[in-house]
This record gives sequence, C-alpha cells and structure tokens, in this order.
Amino acid sequence: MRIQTQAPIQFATGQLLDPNKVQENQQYMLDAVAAVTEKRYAHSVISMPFYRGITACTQADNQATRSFLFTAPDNVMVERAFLVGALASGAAVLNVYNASTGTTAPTGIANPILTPTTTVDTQVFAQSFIIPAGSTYRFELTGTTFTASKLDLVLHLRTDRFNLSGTDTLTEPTVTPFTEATSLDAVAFNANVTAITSAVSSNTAAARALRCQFVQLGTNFTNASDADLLRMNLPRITNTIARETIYRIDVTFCTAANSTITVTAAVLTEAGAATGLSAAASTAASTEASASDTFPAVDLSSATAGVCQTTASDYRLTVSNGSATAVVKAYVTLWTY
Amino acid sequence: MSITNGQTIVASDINSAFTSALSSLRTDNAYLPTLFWLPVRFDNIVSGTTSPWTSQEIVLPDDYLLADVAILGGEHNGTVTVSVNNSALIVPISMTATLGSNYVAATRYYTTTTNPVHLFLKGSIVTVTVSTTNVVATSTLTVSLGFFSKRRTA
Repeated sequence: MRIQTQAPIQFATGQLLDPNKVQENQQYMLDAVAAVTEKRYAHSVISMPFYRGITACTQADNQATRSFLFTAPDNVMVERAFLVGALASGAAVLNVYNASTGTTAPTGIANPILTPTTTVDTQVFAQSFIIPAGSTYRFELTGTTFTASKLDLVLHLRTDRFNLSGTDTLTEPTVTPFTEATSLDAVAFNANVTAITSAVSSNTAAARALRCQFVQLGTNFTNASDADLLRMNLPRITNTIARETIYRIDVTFCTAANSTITVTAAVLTEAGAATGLSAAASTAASTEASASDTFPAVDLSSATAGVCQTTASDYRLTVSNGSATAVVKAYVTLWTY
Repeated sequence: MSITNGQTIVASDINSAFTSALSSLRTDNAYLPTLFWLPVRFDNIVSGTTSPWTSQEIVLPDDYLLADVAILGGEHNGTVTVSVNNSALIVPISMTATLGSNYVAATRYYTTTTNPVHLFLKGSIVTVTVSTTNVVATSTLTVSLGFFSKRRTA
C-alpha cells in the first residue's frame, strides 16, 4: 500500500502557479485513491454448533439435522475452518460440498476436511476455498456410529467488496504529469481531475464489504413454544466510529421427518414492530428448507454519538414456527456492511 | 469545476477542483470501520452445568477491537457471571447480570473511561466462560461480542 506523506497543497491567489506544486497535488490524490481502493476485504467469524440445546447429534439423525447449509450472497472465501470440542463416542468426519449436487467438494479441496476425535481439542483445516455467489454449501457431520459432544464448527470468512459490485478490479486513474518542462494546460488539468473523480466514483460504488453473523436461534420448537426462547436482541453499536447495516437475512430449518410447515425469521424493532426484513422458508413434504430476504436494510449504527445505546433501541431477531410439528433446529445468517 | 486556457485562474479554481474530486471518499460513511456481532450461545445451561458446555473458544481471523459485550437471556432465571478473556488481556472483561423469566437484555459492557476497548490480534483465541444460578432447564443465554475493524488489503 502506498503511504500518504503529505496533505494537499492549498494554492493562494497572487502566487505563481508552479507546475511542480500542481503535480504534487495530483500525486497526493492518486495516492489517496489507491490507498482506499486497496482496502477491499472484510473478515468475520461464525460458529455452527453440532448440538441442539445440549442434545448432541448422532449418526441416527437425518442429514439435515447433522449439517448446516450456508448460502453465499457474494463470493465468500472460507479462509480456515476449525472444529472445537469432541465426539462423545464413535468416529465421524466433517465434509463440505455443494448442496445442489450433494457430492461436489469446493474447488481445490478434498473431503473430509476435518476429523474430530473423542478428546476435546481444536482441529484446523488450513486450506481456503471459495463458496461462489449464490451457491449453497453443506457442512455435514457423518459417520457409521458416533455421538457428538459439544462440537462447534468455526469458520473464518472473507468477502471482497469488489465482487458484490460486480467487478474484480477497479482501474487506477492515469494522469498527465506536469513538470517544469511542460506548460500548465487547462485541458490536461481538467482531464486529470476528471480521471481521478471517475476513479473515486467507482470506488464509492463498491463500498460494501459484507460481514457475517450466524446464530442457531431455535431448537425443538413448535407454534406453542415460548417466544422468549426464539429471539435474540441485536444491539445497536455503542461506538460511533463504526457502522453496521443489516443487508440480508437467511433462515434454514429442519425437521425430524418429512413435513409441510413454514418457519419465518424476522428482524423487528425492540417494541416488536416489523422492519420489513423477514424470510419465510417452507418445507414441502421434506425435512429442510431455506429462504432469504435482502431489503429494507436495517441500520444498527449508534443513534447518539458517544452514548451507550439503551436496550430500547435494540432490534430483535426472531424465528417462529407456524405448525404444531416440531422444528429440530432453525438457524439464521445475517449479512451486514 | 473546469478551467480553460487563457482565463485568469484564481486559487479557488484549482483548490476546489482538487477538493471536489475526493469529496465522495471524504463524506461516504461506508468507509468507517464495520462491526459485526459474534453471538456465543449457551442454551439450556443451569447451575451445576459443567465444562465444556459453559465455555467457548473462538480463534479470530483478523485484528479486531472489542467495543461492546451484551448479555441476552430468554427464560434464563438467574444471575449470570460472564468472563471474556484471552491470555493477552491485562484486564479481562468480567460481567454479572441478573436475568429473569421472559426475555432480558442485560446491562452491557461498552467503552468508557474505566472500561477499556480491547484489541484482539489476528489468531488470538477469545474464551467466553459463563456460570449461572439459573435452574430453568429450557432457557437461552447469549453473550454477543461486538467486534469492529476496518477493511483490509488482504
């Protein structure tokens, strides 16, 4: 990354216009644009628990119960994967593959990616792989005979703001340099400023760098379950130098047997009013379903500079089951920028 | 702002051209650091629940500032003690909150003159540990960690 070493020069009327000073300012601007453009990645970490409450999954559970689906709204790089915890007994492996094919591992890697043992430890998969935009991948615990204890899959995720804006690169501006040997030409000056302004505009258009939040929000619940067990507050940020806006919500749920039910995940105000951001997933004689919603964006930024936000200004994330048929687990992914 | 050859150029013509060229970078708050919440869940734990169910370790993928911690409970009827630590923290975060029936969003940790903001370096391990007096078997407890950082070049 280039380092900005000076502030732009302010010109004063009545002074001689020195081409070198104009060039210094142009270079300052180029450096500023380059420094911002090169900052394109955002990192986040999520944790997927292979237990429901404190009920561990076993080989007897159906595939939906033994796995987590993950849908990428943008190209998402899984930089590393960790399995933290242990099996209570037996032997199992963790596989990841494209959910639409059921067998295809991510490009460049081979399954299994992790093998937990019956000793509490942390297994690390250090190869990175890409989950392409729009794809859904399944992380599945499988084995002939096993019982998981507390076992969490932790993923390190990286997103690239250029991908979300539909481009992989941004063109760096090129300008005509001014020197002592060249006269200051208004046409060249204007063209240089236009080139820099255009680069800045492209950069601003690619401003979103998504971060991910994941939570298993409900286990073993029906339409009669206590709503207090099916919600989680989303606090506003206290620190006003940061920002957070929910861009997208994904919900997935599974059942023990084929069913036809709907589970809805929604972002509400603390008072329970709708924000319009909600996703309803429905099974159709199946054991698993997912859905997503992207708008309207919900801004969790601090409302008052330097003041801790009270819980009254929180938002709340909820899931609900419209049926008396039990949902084994429901989990929600929030994408923010 | 354009200039033309032959015109009398005053300083503001050039200054404004340079200033306006970078204006959208300067004013767009998308360039602020972004935050995400890492919810650490401890469902159905009661007084007497033992390790490993009462703690969770997370390896961090980037340098983060931990600015906020929120304790959230549903039907978790008891007093909760939470610690957020790794081996490098001089002053680990320790919080106590009294939750109750219904859903309770407890008082939060946030940066003040006495509560430092914590820097966690890439690769460090954050350990969240809880203990509770709760006796309600079906309950939820979430410790949400608010991390933020700027965008990266890699």
